[in-house]
Amino acid sequence: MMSLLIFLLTAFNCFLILKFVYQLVGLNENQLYKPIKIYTAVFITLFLLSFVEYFALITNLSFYWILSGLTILNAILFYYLRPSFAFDWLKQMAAAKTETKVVMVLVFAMSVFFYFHASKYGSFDAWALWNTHAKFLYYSHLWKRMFDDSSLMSHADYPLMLPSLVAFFWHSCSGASFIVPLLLSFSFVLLNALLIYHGLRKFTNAGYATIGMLIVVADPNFQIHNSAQCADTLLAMFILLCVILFSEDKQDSISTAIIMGIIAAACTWIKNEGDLFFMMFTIVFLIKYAKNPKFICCYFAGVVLPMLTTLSFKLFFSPPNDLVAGNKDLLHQTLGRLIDPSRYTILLKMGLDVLVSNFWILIVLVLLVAVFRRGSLITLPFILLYMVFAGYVVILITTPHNLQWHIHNSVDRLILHIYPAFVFLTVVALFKANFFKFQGEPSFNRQDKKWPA
Amino acid sequence: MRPVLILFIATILIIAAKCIALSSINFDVDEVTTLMKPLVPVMGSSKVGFFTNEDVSTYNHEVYLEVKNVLVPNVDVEMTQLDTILLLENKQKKPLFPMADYRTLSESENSTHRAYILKRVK
Repeated sequence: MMSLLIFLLTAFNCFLILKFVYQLVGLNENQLYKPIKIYTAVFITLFLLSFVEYFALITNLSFYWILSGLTILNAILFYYLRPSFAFDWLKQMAAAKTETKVVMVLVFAMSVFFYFHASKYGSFDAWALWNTHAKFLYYSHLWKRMFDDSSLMSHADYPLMLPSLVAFFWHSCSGASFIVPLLLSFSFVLLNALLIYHGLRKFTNAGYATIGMLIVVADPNFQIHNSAQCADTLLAMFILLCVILFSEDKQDSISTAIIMGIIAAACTWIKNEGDLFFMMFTIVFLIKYAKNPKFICCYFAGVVLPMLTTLSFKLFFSPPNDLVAGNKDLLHQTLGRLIDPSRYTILLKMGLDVLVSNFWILIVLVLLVAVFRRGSLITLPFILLYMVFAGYVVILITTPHNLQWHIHNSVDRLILHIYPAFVFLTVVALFKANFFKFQGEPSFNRQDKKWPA
Repeated sequence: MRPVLILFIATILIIAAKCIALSSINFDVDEVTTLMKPLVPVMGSSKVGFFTNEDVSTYNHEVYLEVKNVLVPNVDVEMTQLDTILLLENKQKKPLFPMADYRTLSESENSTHRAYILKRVK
């Protein structure tokens, strides 16, 4: 009975946080496309729940204190904000257009794939790292023992967004059930596919949006991650949302800049690779909005909370990263690796193998854009992804570990991080090239009557 | 009923069915419990039933700490969780966790790792 009460209370609190974040995202007459607003609210809520769990750990507060605090805070916000609880989406679903039916068929197809391919405890990284870390966090009085294990296999320096989310929901279920990480994993892949659809719906028409979603739904290499229970798809969806928001170009909206800051900086709390993305995103953001200091200030205001969370973990708890520690006092060796052509040959060969076998659709899409809309390939969002990719190449080339082993174990996941964003950008470029003759106009045109710059 | 609602409900049902199907998959807990028998005096009889499927699957860190204390009580080595599992496997002469796919490590990597652990523990 008590467990049920805690579960219901947690679920209600999560729902209220989501509702309030959604209202905050819509402040300042932010004209974000409504579905994108919903995804943004969901992503920020995920970060906040993870932050709450982490905050409870570092302050030695029990989950029940945190739950009580959240309930009181939500009650106060509820009193002042008086959110409406109209379940419009149910009515909209019931009166769905053909477009929604197609999306729902694709979601159904994903669930069928999940039925036939899902494994109980996910991939190796899930039960060796992510779920083990989550279990340490779940036993809050022992969580610092996670750092006792200094071996490479334990990766105690990995950020804690996914483990803390899993631990948060384990607390709410009053037990470490395998269902929590399993369903979270499926939700992340689902959100990636839906975000691609609605991101494309914003900039293209229904036909192109369906093609974009179909690409990731029909991709077995991507769908296999629906039960992997790792943080890669979580990072991929945050990167995708950053790219979509970056393509929106709403310089007049302060809240959009803050949101971009939160989402980009939250990547650093998901995986170490998120640090690289955050740095590259900040560089292209500063280049694009160099003439708008107010917008830049708002971006950095959004960065504060996620960045403080990551920094507090990195500075006070986490051991040094194996790649950084391995290269720390060996600058000449690192430089030697950088100018060693044989390492590039190995990377090129193994990288191409993975690209051709697992991401061949990406090669096809980029080639089509290169032929029909070459100019799009040198726009800032594409350049951002190239920079992230180049950063990954440098990390792999300078790795202190065995190069082949490192490439074999990571290149697939590294490409996966930017894969949905690449699919989104290439399909938008094909739309601009009028590659398929689909009828219909973007949601952007219907609402804003203008194109992004 | 509208087709979209039917698809929505069907999706939820498929996911629920999969979760129920997966929950019936059990590890061989007896195998682990047998292996852990020498630990009972250390862990206390109240903890005999401690090993659930979830604990086995994610090799719970408390189990790991207890195992480490019993296997190498006075040896100043840092054993990882994987070390512990591989060491136990080595004693048992068979895989401890049937579904674990750390055995996808190449043969040479695996044997190197085992040799390394045994050397350290000795």
